[in-house]
Amino acid sequence: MNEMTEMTEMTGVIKGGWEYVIAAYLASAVILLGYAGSVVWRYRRERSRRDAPR
Amino acid sequence: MGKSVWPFGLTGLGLALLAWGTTWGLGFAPREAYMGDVQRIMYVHVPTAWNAMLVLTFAFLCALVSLLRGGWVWDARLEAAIEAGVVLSGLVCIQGSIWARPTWGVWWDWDPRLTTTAVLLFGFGGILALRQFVDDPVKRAVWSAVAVVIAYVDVPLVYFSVRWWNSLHQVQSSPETVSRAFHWPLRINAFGVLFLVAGLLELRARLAFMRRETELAPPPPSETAVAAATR
Repeated sequence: MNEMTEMTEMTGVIKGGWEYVIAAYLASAVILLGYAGSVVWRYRRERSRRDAPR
Repeated sequence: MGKSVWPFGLTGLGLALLAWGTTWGLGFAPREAYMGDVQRIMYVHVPTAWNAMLVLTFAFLCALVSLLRGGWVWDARLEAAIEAGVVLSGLVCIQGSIWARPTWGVWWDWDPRLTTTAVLLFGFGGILALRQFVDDPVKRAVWSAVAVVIAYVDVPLVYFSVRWWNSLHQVQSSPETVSRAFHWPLRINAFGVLFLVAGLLELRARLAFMRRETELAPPPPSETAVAAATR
């Protein structure tokens, strides 16, 4: 078997790649949920600080 | 600024739509002919990019109104929009980098679309940092609004970069260029990110406004001053 036939056939079609899909969705979930949690937490903290009796 | 709970409802609706669109995109949408399963990244990357442009356009409008009319409400909205725009721009770069690796063979390339997006991220990130360093609230409002108007020049450059210059990145997607089978997860996630960000923008603007009120409030009178006044 020569070197060419041992190589993966070049079809121009990407096979597999679920690891990249999962990485992209995980990064999106972490960043969007993390940012949402951060905004809600900061908002509630500021509001409770203002509402607290002086 | 109000105390109503509608921003929480909008945020929840956005998250629910994102869960629905993501389930559709990952589980039920067909595999693309050339990119295979990797194309599923589009359902989260493109909505993030659209909304990043939208939020930064909102920041530009807030900056203009803040400069022309003044008012702390618009400065609070400006602060919220800059922060959300930076988060979305950063996320777009990360998602794009993950998509680039299996399709282009590299994590990053200094091509016009990627470079102008990186400039956007660092430009608006710098404005956010500028706001942290300026103590005077009036100077902070004016300087950051002027900086946003200048930095916004990069937004149309990002959008048109794929048409004006030779770019690795594909041209903008539209209903004509995307197969009908891929429309719904893309649209659902686009509205999901839009509602999520709209809810968070309102909460973040309220937070900025409360901080500004605290910052501008006169200091409480000291005990000696109160005693002298009652004598």
